[in-house]
Amino acid sequence: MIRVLIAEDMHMIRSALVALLSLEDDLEVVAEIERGDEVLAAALRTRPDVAVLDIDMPGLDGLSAAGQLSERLPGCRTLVLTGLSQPGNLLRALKVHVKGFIVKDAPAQTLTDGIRRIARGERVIDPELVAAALETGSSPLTPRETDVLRAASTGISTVEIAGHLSLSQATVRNYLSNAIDKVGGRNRIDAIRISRDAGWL
Amino acid sequence: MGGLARFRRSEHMLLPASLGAVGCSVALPLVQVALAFGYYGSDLRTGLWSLAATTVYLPLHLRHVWYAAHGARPPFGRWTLAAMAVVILVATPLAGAMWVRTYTALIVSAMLVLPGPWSYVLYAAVVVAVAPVSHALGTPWNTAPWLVFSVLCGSMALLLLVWLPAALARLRTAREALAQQAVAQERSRIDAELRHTVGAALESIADRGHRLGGRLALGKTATEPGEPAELAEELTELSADSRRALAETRRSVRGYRQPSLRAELETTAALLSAAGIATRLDLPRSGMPGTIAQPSRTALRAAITRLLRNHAVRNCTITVTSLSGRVRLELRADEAAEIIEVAS
Repeated sequence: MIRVLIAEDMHMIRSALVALLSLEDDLEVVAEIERGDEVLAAALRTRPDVAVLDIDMPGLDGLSAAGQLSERLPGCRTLVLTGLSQPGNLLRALKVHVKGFIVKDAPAQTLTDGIRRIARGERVIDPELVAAALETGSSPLTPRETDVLRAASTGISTVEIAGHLSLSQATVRNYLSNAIDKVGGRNRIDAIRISRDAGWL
Repeated sequence: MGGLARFRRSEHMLLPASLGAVGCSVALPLVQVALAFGYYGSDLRTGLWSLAATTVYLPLHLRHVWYAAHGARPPFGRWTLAAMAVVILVATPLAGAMWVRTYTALIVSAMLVLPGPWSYVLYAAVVVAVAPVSHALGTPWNTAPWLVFSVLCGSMALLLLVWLPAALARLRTAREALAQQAVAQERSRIDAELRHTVGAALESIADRGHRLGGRLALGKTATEPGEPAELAEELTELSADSRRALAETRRSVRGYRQPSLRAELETTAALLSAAGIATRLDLPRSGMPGTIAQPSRTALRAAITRLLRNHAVRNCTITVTSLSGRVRLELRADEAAEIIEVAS
């Protein structure tokens, strides 16, 4: 029996997923979570074999939750459900050892098969997502520019970003200016939008 | 992106460049007014005439400069040029010997307002007239060359200053026209493509759905044996059709973005490395095609997907060789190798 944790913030979809997986003889849903920041605690409590995580959740996004699981509970393999709108997320997902990355609108059979294959130790990646990631390309930003832009995306001021990242204000402004130029944004907000859509943040 | 950013920066220069041209066009006449008050042989009377005439002609001149800096001819430009010429010529005997330098503004306006041959003829005529007119106003002959030189240099400098923003403005207009043309062409291409692919699939789905609806409505009153199973089969096919249409739409959308082979391989290396596969890219210094044909691209992506799915792979080397115009791509994962002939 494969023990499955489901984390999805939309109640209807979560219920549908639980109902769908409950129809399979070899799958057992051991936890249902609606927030990303509750995933780790629930996983430590229930010890699932596979965690099915939605990419966008309140509290903590699916990839960050997957990162926590990979560190604290390496035996639990993760499968992330995503849309095609943020193709750059595939790279981030692979970096946090996500074993499965499939689109939300894939047939139910793909999900159940995916869970079984991940439980066997295989990697399941939707070819559509690979194609989308290759078209988007890798992030043009350096790690530091990414850090600064990510901090800016939370709405904090340049002074606060400088404080958080132990940089001078002038350096923060430089990084932001470079990031805006590199992603082809008109301004900081535009650069954050472009980077977020591409999954680079 | 760099080129686009540079272009945007050049677009931002349009207003400062226009203001610069206008600023210089104001500065020179103001110097002229100051000279009319204080230059050798001038007095309060010539200064006041100079001031009054400048107050009248300068707005007309600035109007010509402003329009020209934006790549346009001013409306009723010939009339305003004529008015400006009258003011300057009438003031010539009254505003002092140095007033002829104001002809700079006159010929600049003429060049900006009048079409081709006439503007050049007028330009030459005025430049030639500078020396005799200034002599008639009491300037010694040995000063005449300096005045002619001053009018020539001043007018050329001003024309150059106006030419820069005008060129930027024309570039912007051309770019907008080109963008509109490209958008229109792309729209008609997308329309045709969607009609032939997704449109056909959606028509089939709509037709199947309609027929199913009709059969279900009939089923309320009479259900034949085996009917539910048949309907379920139809619904499954309808669902499969919808998925095919969705896949077709994605394929169409994907086709609009064509990253270069180099960018695609660099992203591939990043993805494989992130998946824990030590990846080395071996690319030739030259001969890499910009983009690749769709069949090669599909083969490459399928190979990458297989590699990403294969959790046993630990090392991968991607080698691109270019020989006599033929480009070959080799993906060597551990001991297995896959060759893709790249058609650009």
